[in-house]
Amino acid sequence: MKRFLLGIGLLGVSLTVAILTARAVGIAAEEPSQEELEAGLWRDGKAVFSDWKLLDLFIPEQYARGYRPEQPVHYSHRLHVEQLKIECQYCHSGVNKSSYATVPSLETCMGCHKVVKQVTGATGESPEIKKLQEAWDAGKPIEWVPVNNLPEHVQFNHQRHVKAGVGCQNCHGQVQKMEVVERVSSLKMGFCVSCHRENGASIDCGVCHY
Amino acid sequence: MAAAGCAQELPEKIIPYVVQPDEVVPGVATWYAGSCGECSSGCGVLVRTREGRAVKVEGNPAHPISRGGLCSIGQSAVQGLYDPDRIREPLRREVGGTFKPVSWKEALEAIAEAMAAGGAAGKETVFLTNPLSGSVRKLVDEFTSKVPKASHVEYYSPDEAVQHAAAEQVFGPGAKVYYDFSLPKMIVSFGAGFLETWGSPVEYTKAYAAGRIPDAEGKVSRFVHVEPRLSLTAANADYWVCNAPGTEPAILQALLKLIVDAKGVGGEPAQAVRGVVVAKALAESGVSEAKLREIAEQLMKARNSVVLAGGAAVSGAHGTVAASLALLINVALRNIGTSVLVDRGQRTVPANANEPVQALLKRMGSDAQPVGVLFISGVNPQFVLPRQAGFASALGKAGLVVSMATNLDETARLANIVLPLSTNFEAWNDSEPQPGVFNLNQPSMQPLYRTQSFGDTIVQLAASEKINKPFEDIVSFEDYLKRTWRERTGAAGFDSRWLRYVEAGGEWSSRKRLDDALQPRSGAAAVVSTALQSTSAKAVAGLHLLAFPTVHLGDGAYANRPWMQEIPDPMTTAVWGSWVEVHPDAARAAGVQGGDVVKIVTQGGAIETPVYINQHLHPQVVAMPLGQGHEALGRYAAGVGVNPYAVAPLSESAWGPQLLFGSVDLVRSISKEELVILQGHDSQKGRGITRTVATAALAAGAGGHGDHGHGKGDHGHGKNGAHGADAHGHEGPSLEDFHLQHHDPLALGPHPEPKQMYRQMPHVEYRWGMSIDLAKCTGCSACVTACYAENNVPVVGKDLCSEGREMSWIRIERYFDGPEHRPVKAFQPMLCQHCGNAPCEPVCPVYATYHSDEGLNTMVYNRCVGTRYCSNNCSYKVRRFNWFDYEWAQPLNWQLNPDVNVRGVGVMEKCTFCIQRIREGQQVAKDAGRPVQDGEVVPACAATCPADAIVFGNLNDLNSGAAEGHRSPRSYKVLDAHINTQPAIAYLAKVVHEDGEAKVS
Repeated sequence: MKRFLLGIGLLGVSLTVAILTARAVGIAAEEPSQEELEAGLWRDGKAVFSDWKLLDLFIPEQYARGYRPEQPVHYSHRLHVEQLKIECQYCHSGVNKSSYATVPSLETCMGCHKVVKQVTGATGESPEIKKLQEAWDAGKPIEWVPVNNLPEHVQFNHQRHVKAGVGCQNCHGQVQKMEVVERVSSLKMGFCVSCHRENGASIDCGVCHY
Repeated sequence: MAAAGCAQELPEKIIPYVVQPDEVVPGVATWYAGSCGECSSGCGVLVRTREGRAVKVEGNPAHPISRGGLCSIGQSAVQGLYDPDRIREPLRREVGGTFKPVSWKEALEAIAEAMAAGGAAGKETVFLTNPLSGSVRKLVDEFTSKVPKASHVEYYSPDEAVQHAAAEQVFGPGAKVYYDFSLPKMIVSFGAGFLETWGSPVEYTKAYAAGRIPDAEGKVSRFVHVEPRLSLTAANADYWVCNAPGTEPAILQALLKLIVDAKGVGGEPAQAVRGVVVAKALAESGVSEAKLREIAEQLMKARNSVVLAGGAAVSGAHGTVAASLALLINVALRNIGTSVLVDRGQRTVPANANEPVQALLKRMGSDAQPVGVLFISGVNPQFVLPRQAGFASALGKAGLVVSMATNLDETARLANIVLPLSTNFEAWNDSEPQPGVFNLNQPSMQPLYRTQSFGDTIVQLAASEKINKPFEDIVSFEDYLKRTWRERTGAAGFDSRWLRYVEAGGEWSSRKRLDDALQPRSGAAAVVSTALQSTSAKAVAGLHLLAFPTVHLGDGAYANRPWMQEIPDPMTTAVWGSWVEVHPDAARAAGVQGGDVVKIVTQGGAIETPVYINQHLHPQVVAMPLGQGHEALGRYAAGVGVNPYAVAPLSESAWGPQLLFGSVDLVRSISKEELVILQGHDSQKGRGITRTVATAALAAGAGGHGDHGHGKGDHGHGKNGAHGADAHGHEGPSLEDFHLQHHDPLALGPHPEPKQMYRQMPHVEYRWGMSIDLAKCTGCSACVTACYAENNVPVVGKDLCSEGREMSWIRIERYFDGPEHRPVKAFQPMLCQHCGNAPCEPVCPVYATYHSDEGLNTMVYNRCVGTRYCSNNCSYKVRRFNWFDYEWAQPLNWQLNPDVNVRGVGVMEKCTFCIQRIREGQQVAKDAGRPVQDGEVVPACAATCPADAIVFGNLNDLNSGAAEGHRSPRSYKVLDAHINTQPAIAYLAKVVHEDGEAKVS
């Protein structure tokens, strides 16, 4: 409720400011930052309305940008992807054959971590890897907290996007640089549609909604 | 904000596999071949699983029996799997009568102990099951042969019992008859509902339907059905003969006599009807001699024909005689080896197949109490046997009663130990439904609960020391089954062949050809003629009760599947209950009206149920559906309707439940119960919604005029009082009163779409469309069930159905406005027509429904705000509104298709042409770098249709099957000529024989 009231107040103020600014400067004059470009916040030099950060205040935090839930195991994409150069698809193996990117099975983790027990340079067994070992011994899966959530009425298909050459970062941001994964894009309809428009993909409602 | 508002439910955790099975990719379906275990037809199926759960069953196109089709009951098998009332662990009855969960070990030990103790005391161990086949049959045989005083008794349904007896009567011991409907040009059926549940309905429907479209010579098969009630099968016939109840043996006799005399046939057929006088035989049958002569002539003229007798026609004392006469007619017509296939390699059954059951009950009930342990599996005697059989009291005298069942049904409730059975999705199984066709069913998922198959239970029981380990080295039923396959097919290279068998769902390369023109055994006729002389087969005065199995409930085992309760019976369109069909004359005599509750008093008891006034019934018959009236089974079945089996009188000569019996009284009752009928009106008011075309008109030239209703004068027939304007005598204006149509609205054949003032949506690559051939559609409703399963269509229950809030996306339209001998012109699947000029689209204030560039009338749920304007404006009434959030009782929700949204409250929904399948097909095509090919995308309704009546495809591709249908001279679009909706669905008028109509007797 507090978030909501705050949102209403801020909306009023910032709408005024936005309109005035747009009039005075012209939206096209604004230069998007590299980060914003990567996050897909800009199309054709224009900000996507539904991607205004302000709107995040009206939705549950799970659907808002900056959502960074604590995961049961502290898994560092930066370490695995940027430093160790493991391909995204090594773990998210379903991404080019399924609508889901898929989260790796514990067996995939243990493929390395049966042997690798400590972080390079650190001393002693990593407590996070120990969690994996314990789950493996117990035969229990790790219950990850989803970060990039889509509502149920959207049928998103990873396979199609990957095959069309859309990079993971276009929607998920620079995951390889993240210590803790966070939601970078709004993943709202405007975000999807603007990209579809730019790339000549279908913008028929029935492509995603059924 | 709306979009954010729709996403308030928060996502759950992502729980990956610990070890991901090789064949599973989350999000991608895995298919397993198997066989349907719902009835004994033995259709091949493909089970679609997602993330280890079965979500859908499809027919296996490669299977020789079902060839890709699957019936309504087969489609509902997944609801049997996820039935919330399934037994989840073994149960043992405590002293107080309540059940307590026990472990499998405890349960099996208790059974072995009882068997050992009974053995010591010289008592019997008996298995009472449904007719078994394949390895499980062999296993039971071996078990009973190795355990002292053990035996196996099979219960046959009333019709099965008679068919067995008649086949052996005519063709000698071990004979069994199969039918091939692809050949006959003339079909005469006496009560055999071969398009519903009789025999192997999917197989028969497929072949029958193919014969109903004009061949190269422009000819279609001819079908005459003789039955006192207009059944679904009768409604499909070219000519329905309404005979007096119980006169079938006499009519069959007369028919055989006419054929024998005309063809000069000798031998057994002639023997059987020596001395028969046709006019005398037909005296009380209600069938004119001229009509029967016409039928006989057409039978003899046809290149190939078939005569069947089944269902109520073979019920009672003369059942076997009637069925034998039908076989002898086939002999006289030289149909044996072509359309009537006889195998003589079967095991013999007693003259009354259920005599062993009768004997068992007698033994059980006797004071000596000779039965120590009784196993019951695959049959529910407490439900299917008449009350007079005294099953419950006999059961009370048996020692230990072990019921193996999926649900706590009426019989299981009376058992001492209940062992939970696995379904076909969870266990290995095999069968031989036809000689040389070996079905192999692999489990497609892990058991949901602590359940086991019948086979595994016997294998484990046999491992017990207490009964001296009858099998030495068998570790599981899977192992045993594999061993029988190895024995039969040979050991050389078996392991690699085995994988092929599993993958294919069986093996049928050595399917037995049954093309011998077998002659009847000598003496076959004597039994027929003496039986008929000894007792009179004349019509008995007074009311008769005719009980019939339905396409959704069979005779009762499927009643706890909510789809089967809510999908309407195609003839009455009644849901969630029983009814009794009464002729208007009989109703007047009894002083009852449609919707009243009556007490039906028989010699076997009395039951109460609402009246459905049915004009298409012999005045001496009242008819009731089987399958309802469960006291147990589960939450959806218990307490719904009544069970006519219970009140059937029991005769010593034909022991078992009867489907037709006399001495029935109707008494008006004061109790109230609503019968919910979904179809609002029985007449189409000359709108040409369902159409027929005569063979002659079709041959005369393309197009022509369909045989349509006759405007204002075309009154609907008698009607249940509960719904419909007809009961009040109102006749609304017919569409012919308005002169809006741009061409003859009832002409057949393709028409140019008229111009319209708005810009048309261009269909660049695809225009999805459908053609539905009414000549093939039999109204079996498999498509409706398939749609419920594929599209997560909710079940709303009886109360909401009575308010017209059922959610089905596709329904079967049935209008009673044909001629008297063919009251239903055609059955018609009605679904969203995906109009090119859709009335629903312009009225939506939020663009939630619109026409896509692929020709789909798309419905965007998250955009819908629920004004329901679209539904009001829809000319076909195919849109459904979610008045509530509907629930799927756990674990029924596990069946939900993950590729389709579950719609929430306040949202409109309707047929999408299975858009999820279109998208899947487009993906495959895109990966292959080509457009979608014809036949690659098949919606759920078209995939399951046993008649192949529904063809879906891209209308832009002129070579597609759907486009071909649109071009057919028989094609028409419903209401298009009146209101220019430009549907994407073309219906093809049903082909009928006009000459037969002119000679109405």
